[in-house]
Amino acid sequence: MATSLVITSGKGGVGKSTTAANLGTALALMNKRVCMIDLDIGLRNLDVIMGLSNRIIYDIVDVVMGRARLHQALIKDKRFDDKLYLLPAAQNTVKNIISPMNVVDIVNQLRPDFDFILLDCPAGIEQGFQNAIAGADGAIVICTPEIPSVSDADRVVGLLEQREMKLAPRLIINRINRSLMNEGNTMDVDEITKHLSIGLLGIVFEDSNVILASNQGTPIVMNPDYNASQGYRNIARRILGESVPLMTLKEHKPGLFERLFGKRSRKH
Amino acid sequence: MDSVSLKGRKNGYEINLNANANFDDNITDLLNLLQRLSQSEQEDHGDLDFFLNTGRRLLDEPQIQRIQALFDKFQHFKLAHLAADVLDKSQAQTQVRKQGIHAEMSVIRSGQEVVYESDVLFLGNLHAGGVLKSTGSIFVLGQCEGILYAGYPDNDMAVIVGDISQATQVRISDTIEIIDPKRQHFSKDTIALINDLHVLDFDTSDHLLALRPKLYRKMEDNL
Repeated sequence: MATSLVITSGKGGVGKSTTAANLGTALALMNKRVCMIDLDIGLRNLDVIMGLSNRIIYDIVDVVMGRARLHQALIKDKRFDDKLYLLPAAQNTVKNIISPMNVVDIVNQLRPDFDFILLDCPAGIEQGFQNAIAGADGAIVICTPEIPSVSDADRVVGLLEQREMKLAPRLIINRINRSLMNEGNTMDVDEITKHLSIGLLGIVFEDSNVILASNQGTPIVMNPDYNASQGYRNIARRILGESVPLMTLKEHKPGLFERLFGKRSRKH
Repeated sequence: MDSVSLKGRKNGYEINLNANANFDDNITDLLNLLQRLSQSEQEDHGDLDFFLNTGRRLLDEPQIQRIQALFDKFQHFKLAHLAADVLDKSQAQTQVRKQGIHAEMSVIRSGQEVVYESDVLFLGNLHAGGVLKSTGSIFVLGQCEGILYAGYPDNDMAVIVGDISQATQVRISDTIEIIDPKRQHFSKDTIALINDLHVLDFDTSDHLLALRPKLYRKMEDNL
């Protein structure tokens, strides 16, 4: 039976869909059967990040309206055998078209066939948010080290706590700019975690390759050489119960030899 | 023996209903009493106020309506006040709560508003965007980055005591102060209160006895 996790943040643009795509992919790479559900109705983009846009025939609204059966609307990502599926959102309608009960029904139908169901929540705390959290056993809250993002995450954690989910909400701090954080120009990881008073699931460093990967429809986690990829892989391992230390915030400083000959041990 | 008794008051009459008697007997006797009074009182006295005490009996809404209907029969009689010597359990609990100090230890997050009808000892964490509201005073031992509102809505004697340097605003009754730690110095001994000019002002806790003696004694009784 699947565990359903909603990926939420309150604020837009902090990397919810990117995180959903990368965690789904990372879990599938670890041989878990995963179904991602895009609940950002009217503004879907999980399919774009996964490179599955051209394969959408039916979407979640078609399922709710009875125009398609659930398994007709699921898109299998062929890169992962039969481990990873996507239920896309509709692009030509509004969030209010589905209700929290619809989401609960869909999640319950999917539970026996998967290990994880990841619900990609839209920004905001209105109907779309209520739909997404209704079907979840637990929540992953995404924030960046910016005060508006932390403040919105705080609001969302308050709303999640009122629902008393089976699993306590956990935090991912995304898009960490190491030099800004090391210089003390942004809130640091400990400060954010202490402020939000929820468990830290992991951190992901800012990496322009994430954008490139999303544009190509290939989640960055598929390439293990990048720091952001490692961050997502570590988070997936922690979701599975492994104990993985946090990545270091220290920046890689090239030595003389590296500076002279431009040789780098790792892509950054 | 009548189940109602009448006493004169400076500004009307006081009627006591015997709580040991049947309520229907109370009603019959009250009607007789009002009829007798109506005959003896001269109309040019104007309206007469009645203060009704039901002793150790709490009346429910239909019973109150029956009594009100009796008074409505007499043009110059007005039921000014209806009271009992007892409270129901929930009212008693509310009163006790209002008189005590509530210890609050939780995290109040952005968008949340926690309201108390008592003094509050705050040991938790008030995040920016959160509001801690109290009808009484607030004593801060935790961390506050949100809005502290004491004396809600109109208790001018309420105070806020403790380190408020990180708070966004403090409000007491109908006054508001935006906290600017660069311009004002705050410490754990700071008191925020409304001064004689009805302006939100700051002082130190060693002056609390002089500024709010009743509150000081209440705290001594509670601790």
